[in-house]
This record gives sequence, C-alpha cells and structure tokens, in this order.
Amino acid sequence: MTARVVFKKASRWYGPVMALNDVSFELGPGVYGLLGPNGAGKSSLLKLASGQLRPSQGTVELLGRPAFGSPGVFHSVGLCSDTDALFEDFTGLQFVSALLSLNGFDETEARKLATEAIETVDLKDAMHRKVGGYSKGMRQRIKLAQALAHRPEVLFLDEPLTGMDPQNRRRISDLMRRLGEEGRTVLVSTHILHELEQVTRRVLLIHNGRVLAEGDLGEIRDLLDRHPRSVRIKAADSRGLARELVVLPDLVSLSIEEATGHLLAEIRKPDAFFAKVQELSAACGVEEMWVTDENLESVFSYLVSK
Amino acid sequence: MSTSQIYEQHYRRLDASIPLRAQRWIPIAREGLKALVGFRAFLGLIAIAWLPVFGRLVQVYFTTRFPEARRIVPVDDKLFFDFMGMQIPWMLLMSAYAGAGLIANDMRTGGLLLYLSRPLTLGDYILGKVSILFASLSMVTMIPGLVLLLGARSLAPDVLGDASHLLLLPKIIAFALVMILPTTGLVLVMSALARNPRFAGLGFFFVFVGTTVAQGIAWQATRSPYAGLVSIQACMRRVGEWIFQVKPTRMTADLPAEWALLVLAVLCLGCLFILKTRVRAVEIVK
Repeated sequence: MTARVVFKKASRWYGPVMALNDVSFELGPGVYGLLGPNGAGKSSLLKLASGQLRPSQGTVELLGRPAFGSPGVFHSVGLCSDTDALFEDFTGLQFVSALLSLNGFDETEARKLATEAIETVDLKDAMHRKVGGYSKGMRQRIKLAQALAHRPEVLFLDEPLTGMDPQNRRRISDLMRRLGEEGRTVLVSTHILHELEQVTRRVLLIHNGRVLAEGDLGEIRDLLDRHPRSVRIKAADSRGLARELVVLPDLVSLSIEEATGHLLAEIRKPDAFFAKVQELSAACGVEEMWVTDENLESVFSYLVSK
Repeated sequence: MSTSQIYEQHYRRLDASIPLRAQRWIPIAREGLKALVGFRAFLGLIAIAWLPVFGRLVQVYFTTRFPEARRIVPVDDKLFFDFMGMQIPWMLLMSAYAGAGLIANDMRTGGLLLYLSRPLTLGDYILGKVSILFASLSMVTMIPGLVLLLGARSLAPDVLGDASHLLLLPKIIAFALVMILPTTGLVLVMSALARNPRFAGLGFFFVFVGTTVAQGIAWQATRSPYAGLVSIQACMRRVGEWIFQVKPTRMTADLPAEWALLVLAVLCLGCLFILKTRVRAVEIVK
C-alpha cells in the first residue's frame, strides 16, 4: 500500500525555536497515534502534515504531493484542529454544509453529506441549534463532523476527544477505528495514552520536536502504568460519584474542587476506573471528563534518558 | 511506519489530483453575506443609508413640478456627485461594522484553518472576504446611486434622458469603485493587523479621519494643493470631481486628479501586499 503521508528529514523552526527536528516517517492506511506531552511538537507536526506550515528543512508529502502549497489535496484530506474556532452564529448543519460548499459541493449534496456526518458523530438532535450554544464536547464532535463530511482519504485529528463525556469518547473512538479499518489514514494526536489504546496500537512518540519511537503501544503502556494519571470529571452528582469511585483499588487520590464542583482523581490503572465511570455516567449525570495527564512528561523524560 | 496490514476499501475514493475549480471564493462570499444579513444592525444600517435616495428623489420631483427650482438645485451630474459624496459616512460605518471582524475573528480564533484545510488558496480566502465587504459597501454607495439615477430618469426624463447624461451610469459606477476599493483594502488590512474587530474598526476610523485632519493641517501650513494627497477622502473626492466634471473644492482645486488616483491605486496595491503577507493560518510565535 502506498504511503500517503511521508516526512523526510523534516524540520521546522519558529525563529530560533525548533518545533520539529529531523523527523522521518511514512504512514499508510490505518489509524496512527501521535503521542507526546504538551509542547512536544504534535500540533506543529500535524500542521506540517496538513500543509498549513512549510518545513524549514526536508520534505513533507501528502498523497504524493508536497503538503505545503497543494490546496488540491484537500479534496481528500480532513483536518480537525485543536483551535476552538467555529462559525458561532451558524447551526451545526449550516456550519458543516458551509465548509462543504468550499469543497465544491452544491447546496443539496453539501446538506446531504453534512447530515450524514453529523449523524455519524451523534449530533443529529442538535444540528439545528446554533454552534455558539454547543458544549465543549459537542463542539469537538461538530469539528470532527466537518473533517469527515467530504469522506477524506487522510484525516488529521488534533486532540479529538478533549472535553467529551465517556459515552461519546467511546463512540468517537469506535468511529476512528472504523475509519482506519475502511482503509483511510487517520493520524490522531493526543497526550493521553488511554485514548489511543481504544483506537490503535501503532504510535509515534514525540518529545521536544523529535520522534523518539514508533511502534506498538503495549510497551509504552506498561511504562506509563507506573505513573498515576489525573482525571477531572464534571458531573451533576459529584459526591455520589465520589462515593462509588473511592472503593477502586488503584485510586491514588480523590477530591472535589470547591470552585467548580468537579471531581479530581489520580489513578494508576485507568481501565477499571474508566469502566466504572462509564457505568455510573447516567446515574450520576457525568457530563464531561478530561485526563489532565501531566505525568506523561516524566515518562518521556525517562525515554529520552534511555 | 508503513505497515503490512491489508485493508478492504469501503469508501468512495476521491482523487487528490482533482484540479481546483474556478470561483472558489464564491462560497466564502455567499456564506459571509448570509451571516451578515442575519443581523438587524446590518439591515438597519442599509435602510438608513438609503434614506438620502428618497430625499434626492423628492428633490428631483419638485424640480419637475417647479422648473424654476432647477436654478437653485439643478438636476445634473453634480446632484449625483454630491449624493455619492454624502454616502461616505455610511460607507465608513458599514466598513467598520461589516469589515472589521472579517479577518480579525478568523485570525484570532484560528478559524482561518477551517478555510485553509479546504481546497482553497490564500488568495481565494482574501478574494472571498473582499467580496463580502465590496457587496456590503455597494449596498450603501453604488446601488443607491444607480437606483437614484433610475428613479430620477423616470421622474425627469426631459432633463436626464438626453444624450449629455448618458454617461451618468458609468460615472456613478466608477466613482463608487473609487470609494469602495481603497476602503475595502484598508479595512481588511486593519482587520488582519489588529486581530480584534474593535481595534480594527477604530484603527480604520483613525486612519481615514486622521489623514483628512492631516490634510487640513498640511494645507494650512503650505497652502499647497498637493496636501490633499495625504487624505484618502480628499483623493476620493478629487477623483470623483474629475469623473463627474464638477468644480473642485478650494483645497483640492489645483490637485491633479491623476495624482489622487495614483495614491488610491498605490493604497489598494499596498493593502493587497500586506494581506498576502500578514494573513496566515498558523500563528508563528518567535
């Protein structure tokens, strides 16, 4: 299978700051994780891959063409960026349709494709509501819908699960996996290992602008399990949820933030924890969940020192 | 990383080599205008800017009823020049309202990525934004001018129907372009530089009004007609006077219209250059 995304010794500087350093890899069909702590260079790598930045050195090819300066490739590329910019006064359907019209679809076809994509991300009930009134999780999903709607061959997803509730995390993870199984190339960036595990086992580890490793997730996971992860949960009944979670054996700490009422937990083995939250999400009104995982940094430091 | 898994392709494959289609800016313009029309303030501004049309039509109607009134308020090229000149304040308000956030909002929020992750060039994006503002400003300048001409011709065919007034139509269009194009360029540049619609709007007013104040000071100091070259508004008016062949004002009487036109052309090109270099999807932090 031909590689669709090719980095050859690509580097990128922002003035004196090096964001990416001598990165080389090739991606064919399937889902790939781009894993690294905040500031590692994930967004820069995605921006280079999606042609939003020109490499300072080396080459980046997308579908056989230079990624930068080839707008034609965007007929077959979808980008879900990390920015929270949407057309606030448009409804969800208008937003996705409007972006599809930029791809050259006529109004009828744009509306049809937009509706399909919105159904795919399970936002159909809210598609006639203004985007400005969407929650964080809904905004993420509508961004994903616009990236998917024109059925691209290559998808770049920058932190796509941020702010979603457990149910939607699972749904979107399943969707990403399905897209990979269909033969599309999906590159998902995240600093949360657990999110990736549900989608793929193939990862690119990036730190300080360098690709440290590429390969199977299992080994990295073992390493990470030694470090507790921080989770923040927004729920209608935080105290009730806390009562249920406190009995979990791998829970390191649990508290309720006074200002926001959010539940803050530190956990070692996340699988059981996330499964329990999932189970309780309806009863305790779990709305959103974030893994605020600063500890990944220490694992990367460990990898760098190895 | 190109691994050996085998996939069955289930989706419709689009060829990445599809050539870019023509008029890619049109959807940007269409969606932008649709969004603007949704605001009452936008429609209200247009409605108010159209009131002078009716005032002028009443004026024309009276001159047809009382021909002796034509000596005081003649129905000629000057009527249309004056009308267009009086629309400048509305054009400024519309520029600030409809134009200040056009690029600023996209650059501040990163919304530009939404556009540039589509089969579009930066030029298409800029052209789309220019079109939104061009259409908005036309609604308070060119179109009212043309409607006034149409109405006045219907009311006073004996005066405006003769051959000497045949050129009024292109004159109105030309003067409107002289007003709209530099204004559009300037507002969009402010929008791209300020990244905050309020600052962009204020910056635009500051430059537009500031250059007129500067012209006044320069003229007082030098009494040179070339002082008008520092004012965008004076240049517009001077070119308008030349187009309509009306008597120039005292301050610009000896200012060559060609020079004024050159200043406006340079302003437009400068704005285009700044837009091409400043508008970037990705913020480069140095």
